[in-house]
Amino acid sequence: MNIPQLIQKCKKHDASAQRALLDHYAGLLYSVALRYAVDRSEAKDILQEGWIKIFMGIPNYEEQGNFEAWIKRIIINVALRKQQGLEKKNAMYVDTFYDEPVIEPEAIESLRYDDLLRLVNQLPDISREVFKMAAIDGMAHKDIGNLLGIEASTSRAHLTRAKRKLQELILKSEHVKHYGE
Amino acid sequence: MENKEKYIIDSIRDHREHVDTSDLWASIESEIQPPKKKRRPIIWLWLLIGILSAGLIGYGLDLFTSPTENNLAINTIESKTTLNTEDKYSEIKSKNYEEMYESDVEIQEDSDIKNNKTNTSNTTLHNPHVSTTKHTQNTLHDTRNSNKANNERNANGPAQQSLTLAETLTPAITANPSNLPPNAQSNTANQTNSTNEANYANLANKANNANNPNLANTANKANTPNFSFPFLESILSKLEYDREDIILPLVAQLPKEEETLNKANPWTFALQSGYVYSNRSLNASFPLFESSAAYRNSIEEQLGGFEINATLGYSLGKFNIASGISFLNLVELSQFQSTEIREVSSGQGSVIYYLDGSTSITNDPTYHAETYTLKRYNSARFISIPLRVSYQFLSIGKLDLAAGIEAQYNLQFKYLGQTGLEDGVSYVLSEDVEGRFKNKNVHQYGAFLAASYPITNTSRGFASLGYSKTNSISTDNYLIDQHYNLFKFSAGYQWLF
Repeated sequence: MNIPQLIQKCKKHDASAQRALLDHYAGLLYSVALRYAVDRSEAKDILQEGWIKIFMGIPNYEEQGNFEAWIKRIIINVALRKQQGLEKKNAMYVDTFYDEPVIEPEAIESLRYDDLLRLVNQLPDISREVFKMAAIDGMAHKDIGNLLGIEASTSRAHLTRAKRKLQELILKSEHVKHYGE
Repeated sequence: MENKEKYIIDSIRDHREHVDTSDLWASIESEIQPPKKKRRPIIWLWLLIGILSAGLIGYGLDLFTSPTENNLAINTIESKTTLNTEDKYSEIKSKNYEEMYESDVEIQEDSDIKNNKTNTSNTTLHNPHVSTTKHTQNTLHDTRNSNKANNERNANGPAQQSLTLAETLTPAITANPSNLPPNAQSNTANQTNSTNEANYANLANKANNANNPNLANTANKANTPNFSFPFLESILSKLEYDREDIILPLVAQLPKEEETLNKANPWTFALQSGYVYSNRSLNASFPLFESSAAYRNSIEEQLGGFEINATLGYSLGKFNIASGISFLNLVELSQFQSTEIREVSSGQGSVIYYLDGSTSITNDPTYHAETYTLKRYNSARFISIPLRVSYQFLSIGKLDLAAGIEAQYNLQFKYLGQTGLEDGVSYVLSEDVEGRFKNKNVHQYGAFLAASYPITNTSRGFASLGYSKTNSISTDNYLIDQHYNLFKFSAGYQWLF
């Protein structure tokens, strides 16, 4: 059964179709949740809440856009809602990453998913969120602007800044790899 | 460098983290079941049936307990002459003679009639043309004494009745044709077999019709309608016969109108239902999402619904005090706009929480106001005990106007609902908040104007227009300050015991 058929059945609250859809996208959405969550526990909460909203909202899904983008956006939305304020989030990031070596002295290519995520999470504030949404999750700047309450042009600027900062972090990691600190 | 950046992005994007879908499914399965459509009793239908039934019963009872103008008139006659059905038939027949001969027929009531000791009419006709013939008197007397037979004939309609009259007259006419009026005499002259009783009957019938076309109507006015449909006439005659012989005697035994009204006691029972329009205002200021941030929220929304209640009342002069039980169900009628203003302070920056649950971060404004068009499917239910005090301040004819105040102690308040939001980008958030507000300390208080009009002597219909307001609705975990402004238009039926 293909995805559109599953969606149609999910609109009719077909439990087997819902389960099949969940099995198909669970890994993807969990990865998305991990990108925006503080830890795995919160990611699972986001995933659970997000799936509930997906199934509750799927009868109103108009099938005009990319379904995968739609469900990812719901997960991102739930994740952002979970955030309890920029300050707390920053504090968490600082506690997690800045006070200890961020990247192991190995090549970037050998880094694990969690390590790559830590690297991205070192990006500053809104730039980090924009980078995740735009570069990783492929969201349009207009949609990002709507979610974050900023202009699309501002979102693009944040993305540019984020990429520049990421390159600095990569260089830093290379420096750590070759020379140590 | 760009390759490494691309590698990072691709690695993160394509990564699929393993998750136990069985656990995940088990945790959400119970929450994603479609809301079961509750079988709502067709309250309106039952209410309508109840009110109509009660009204019909009340009206039916009133038909017997309070005489109408017609039977009041008959009662008046009865009170004067104490005539029974047979007597009235005799009286009607006597009137026929009166009109037929345009003479001074007098109805004399003998002592038995005056004393109401007999059902047989002994009325004697004094007619200058007829009374000279003893045979005629006897015939008439005998005829009236056979009232039952006459009534049976009467049941056959005006034609039969006229024939009966003719039969009665025949001997008299036979004995003295001059007894006939001039027109009848001239008709008699045209008859070849003037001594034939049947012809005399026809003659009398013709005379009856010729001399006084209204004669039959006069008789029929009391007995049968003057229709030209024999079948209908026979049915209506039968009904009228039953009415006179069966119903009226029963009615005569029932209390008169004055007695009924005098017996009205101060207790009343009323059933009332109506439409309720509600403007719900919500103002809240409290921490959100367990953070130190706070926001102010102001929502105005419009709901509609219905209220039904049953009350027992007691009248003290022009005051009426009533109490009973009331049920109010409010549902959202359509889309509405909600303006939400939120202020969030979180140290260096501000986090703005949107209605759809999304968040934005800004360093500039600490206020954010936005108008949303929402689709909501909410309902709020109140079960309460109303207490109403009203004062009848004006009467215009039979119409009474009253003003009053009401307070309702709510036994239960329940807020049910599901909220949906569309932001135009095909994103939908649904939030089921069923059970979030239950059994809260919510009361109503307000005022109303009512107009009532008597439907029967023991019941009144009424309509009222009122405004009530709920007090602040405090909840365990969400809304803090919430009011329902209730505009009520209702109608009902009130029974006087």
